[in-house]
Amino acid sequence: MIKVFKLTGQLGLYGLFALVLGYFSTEPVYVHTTPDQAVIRLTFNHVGNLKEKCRRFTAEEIANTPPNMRQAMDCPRERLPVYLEMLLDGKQVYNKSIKPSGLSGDGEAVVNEKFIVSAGRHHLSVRMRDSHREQGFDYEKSEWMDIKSRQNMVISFIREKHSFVFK
Amino acid sequence: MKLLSLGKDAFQYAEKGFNGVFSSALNPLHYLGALTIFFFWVVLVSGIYVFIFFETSIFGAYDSVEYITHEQWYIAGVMRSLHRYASDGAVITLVIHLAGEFFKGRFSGVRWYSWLSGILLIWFVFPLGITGYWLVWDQLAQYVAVASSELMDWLPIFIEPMVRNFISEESISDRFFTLMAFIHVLGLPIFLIFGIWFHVLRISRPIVNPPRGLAIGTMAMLLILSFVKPAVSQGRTDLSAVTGEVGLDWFYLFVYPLIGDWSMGSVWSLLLVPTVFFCLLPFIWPVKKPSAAVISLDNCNGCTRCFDDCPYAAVVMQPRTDGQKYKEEAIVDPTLCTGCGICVGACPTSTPYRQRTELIPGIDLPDLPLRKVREDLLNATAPLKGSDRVVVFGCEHGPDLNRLKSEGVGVIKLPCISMLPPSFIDYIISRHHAEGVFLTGCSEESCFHRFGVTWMDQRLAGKRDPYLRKRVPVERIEKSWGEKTPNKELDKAIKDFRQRLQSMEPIKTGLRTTLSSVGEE
Repeated sequence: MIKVFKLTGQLGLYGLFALVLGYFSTEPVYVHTTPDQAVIRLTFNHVGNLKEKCRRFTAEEIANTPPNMRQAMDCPRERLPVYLEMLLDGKQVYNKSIKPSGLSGDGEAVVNEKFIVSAGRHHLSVRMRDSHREQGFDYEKSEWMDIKSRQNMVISFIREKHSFVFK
Repeated sequence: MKLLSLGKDAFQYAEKGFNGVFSSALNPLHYLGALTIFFFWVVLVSGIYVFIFFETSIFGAYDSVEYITHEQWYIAGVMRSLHRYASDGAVITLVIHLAGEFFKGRFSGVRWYSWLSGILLIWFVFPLGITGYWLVWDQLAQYVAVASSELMDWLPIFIEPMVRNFISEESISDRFFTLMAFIHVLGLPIFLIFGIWFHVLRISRPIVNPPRGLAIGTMAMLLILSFVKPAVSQGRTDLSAVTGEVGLDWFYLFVYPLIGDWSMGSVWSLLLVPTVFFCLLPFIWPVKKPSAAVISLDNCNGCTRCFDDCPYAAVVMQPRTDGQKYKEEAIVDPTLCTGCGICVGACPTSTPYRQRTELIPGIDLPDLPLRKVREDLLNATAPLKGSDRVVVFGCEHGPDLNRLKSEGVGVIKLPCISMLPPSFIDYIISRHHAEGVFLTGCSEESCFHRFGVTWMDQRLAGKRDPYLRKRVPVERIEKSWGEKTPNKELDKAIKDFRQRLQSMEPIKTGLRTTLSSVGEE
């Protein structure tokens, strides 16, 4: 009798273990995005303009430099930060000044943002400034977009074309 | 402290319940670490088989997994399911193993090494499981790839965000996928095998395999589950769309839903803060470290019994240094010794009969020398009255002993029950210090000092040195293992034992020893 009880208990506990394994390996289902949602991903790298223009060393500066290190021009490597804005249906949803990467601040500014939006028709504007100018933007794109349910829309910047791409 | 005590109680009651169903020898709660390793072997073997048919390219992975699942469902499909369920099973046993060791306080002192290496192992187990889901390259894989990348991108490691690999079909890199396959198939498993080796390195006789009965039962359970609910993919990836509903493996991916809802800093904090806390726990937890065992070379004949019995590999043998005729001598590594006294119980010179010379065994505990144990024994038994006198020996992790003291019952507490040399039992009975000896301690297979109860059982059964002498009437010895034995049960066991002792023939041999006769007065 005790043996039957033990065997039943063991089967029950193995069964419980299997039940937990079987259920939680896929259930409960997780809803990552609902059908009325979509994602806009603003993601690209861009190099800002040089912070300072090249200049000619003065004769005095050249004289003070060891002979083996003398050169005519001083060209600092540091880049300007890239200022970026995004507007969705006229409302600003993003603005940030992105510093250049690298220890010397001479690398690319890295943009990588995700926005969860409602699916449907939206007016989308992205503008960017990478120069010394205080006002206005160097690059800009606005467009009406039909964003599908659960669409993964990517906004990038094509350096060669100096233009934003909505895809 | 209170939480620890509650957790320990809960764990021990669960162990007791499982003992009733599985028996102590097959109790899965006694083999959680071994079961985790067993699951890992199932994962390894099933993974190797599945890998034969798997195509490690982003363009062929999904179709090859579909072939595995549907075309060759009877072997490869079952192997895939075994691969998944054994991985999940490993998480369950790993978490319970961790909780059990934590609640039982097995993380401080010399156990810091196993604890710390165990915590760090978790950081290999989870990435191994997560990268496995990545390789199927279905909807779940897409979700895992994107969410993992978003999590990694928060760290200032990569200049190019990792998530860009998964934002469109054009951006996907076959090379990156192959790298993930390499990490899952070769990189992490190798680290894990070495990690397991490191984890058990500083303990002797590590239990890395569950008993056969438990292994068969577990394997049968996995196989039945694999046929009843085979692991299947969740639809082909579509990088132009974000994933909607995904059937998450909550054992590995329980943090993932937070990646969307919490800031990445909070998610990393959730992962790293407990890790750092548990890593530091052995060093911040107040622990009273007993003095390490010491060797008396004059009394050590290099028999290796202490070396064989030490559960922590704290005793090692080396060539003789004192010119005596013996080949070897024992030495103790104080950094590994817990002061459990098991070595003292194993030493052939640990005999209470020594009267002409001072009782100094070959190995002894400075905090509780064997001489003191004999002294305590004589003090405890001297005032006992009646024809059913009993000496109860227990350990620091067993039931409360002071409660048991009475006119006919004396108690002696040891760090571990296996510190008691069998010759003491012979001594008590043959010298009329008591009519019976009652032994208590931790649960079988779950001894705080790992092998204390096992070694004692084997010594009493004449299967392990030092044996209990055959002249000792075994009916005068009673055992009750289990630190959570309810008081009522223990009281009844002692009462019944004493009643049985009353009905036995009186002991005829021996002379009663007194403190003065052993020079301890």
